[in-house]
Amino acid sequence: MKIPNYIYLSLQLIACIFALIYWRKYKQSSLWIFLPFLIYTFLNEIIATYFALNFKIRILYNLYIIVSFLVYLYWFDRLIKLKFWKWIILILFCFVVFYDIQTKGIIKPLLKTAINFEAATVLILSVVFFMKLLRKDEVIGYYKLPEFWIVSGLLMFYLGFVPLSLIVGMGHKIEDLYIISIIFLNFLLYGGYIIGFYVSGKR
Amino acid sequence: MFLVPFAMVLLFIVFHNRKNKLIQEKIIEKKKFAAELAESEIEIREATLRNISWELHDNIGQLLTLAKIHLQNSDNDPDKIKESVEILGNALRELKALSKSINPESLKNMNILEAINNEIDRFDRMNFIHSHFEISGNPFQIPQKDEIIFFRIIQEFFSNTIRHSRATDLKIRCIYENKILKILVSDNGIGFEITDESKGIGLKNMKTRAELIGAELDINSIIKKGTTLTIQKKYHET
Repeated sequence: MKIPNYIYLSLQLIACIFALIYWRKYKQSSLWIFLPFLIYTFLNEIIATYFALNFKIRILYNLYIIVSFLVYLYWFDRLIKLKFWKWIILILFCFVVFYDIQTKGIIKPLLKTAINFEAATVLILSVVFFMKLLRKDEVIGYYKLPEFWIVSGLLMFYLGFVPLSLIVGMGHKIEDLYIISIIFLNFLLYGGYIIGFYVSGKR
Repeated sequence: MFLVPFAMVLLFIVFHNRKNKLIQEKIIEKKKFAAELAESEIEIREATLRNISWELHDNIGQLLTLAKIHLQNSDNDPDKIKESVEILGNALRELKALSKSINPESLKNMNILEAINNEIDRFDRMNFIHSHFEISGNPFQIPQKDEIIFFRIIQEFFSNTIRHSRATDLKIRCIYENKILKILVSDNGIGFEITDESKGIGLKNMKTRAELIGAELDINSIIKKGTTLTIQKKYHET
């Protein structure tokens, strides 16, 4: 197993531990979705890492892309009330996934259009969330809001991920930079989760 | 990739600035509210003193004058003396009622309903106007600051009714429903033109005060029909 995998797994594990520690504090809120999601992420990463040599693991990541998209959509719907927009986004995502499967298949290559669609959706919904939050009185204690930290983590992750994905997609060889960047972005993403769960416990 | 740290810093700057701006706005709002609240309390006290003055002069003073005239003309007539004693007894009762109604302790502990009732009792004593007070729903407690502002607005309406409207009837309805307090006050006076600028300042003052506590205020007036004041505020579950 390579060092970056250890880092990803460690970050996911720490996020899972924080999610478990503060579970009782947030289980009634929309944050509940992140505990099963983080456990799934961690298990998915372990399975993918250990079976990478012998099996076609891309399907695990493809499945992860679909699950994570649904989780984020559910969560943003609870946060900013997407109303009919959630159905439009969901239908578009289904089309994108269908397109990827039709053109490349689901077993071997990653659903790249779906990842980029997910990234763009999360970026847009994060901006909407922040704009709505800025208009509320809650902004006075924004740093005490778990939602703020989790959305910040997601926003930063996808903000860095989109250009990286585009550069790699254009065929540029930036393997080292790519790995370092993804590690850095994972720190931001799981850092957001960890702080989010921590502040939910202090609320 | 350089975009990410930049975006992070930008995000925190935006939120921090907004937070500071909102805190500043809250402080200004709080100061404005405190000033308005203090002014309302002063106005309530002034109105109370004015009412005492009227009551002493027009009610108790009149009774005492009547008793004095009766005694001066009695020529030791037991009937006239008895009548004078009755008048003096009435004056004493009115004095006691007045004393009770203006006791600072009882005024402080009074809720909005008791305060309105107190005003109505005074109107009855003074024969100013025929008034009718009705409460519907289950009364719930509201913050004292809100009570002061509500009462001051209603008191201002009462004062205008007595002084300018030539009304004979005054109706007050307090409706407590679904955590909403709605107060309707109406008279059958001469009414006024809502667009009249001379009345505008008083109305604006009432509206500003209502807004300060997050209440909605509406005044309707029809010439020769009367004026209606509606104030309402929704209270959230505690």
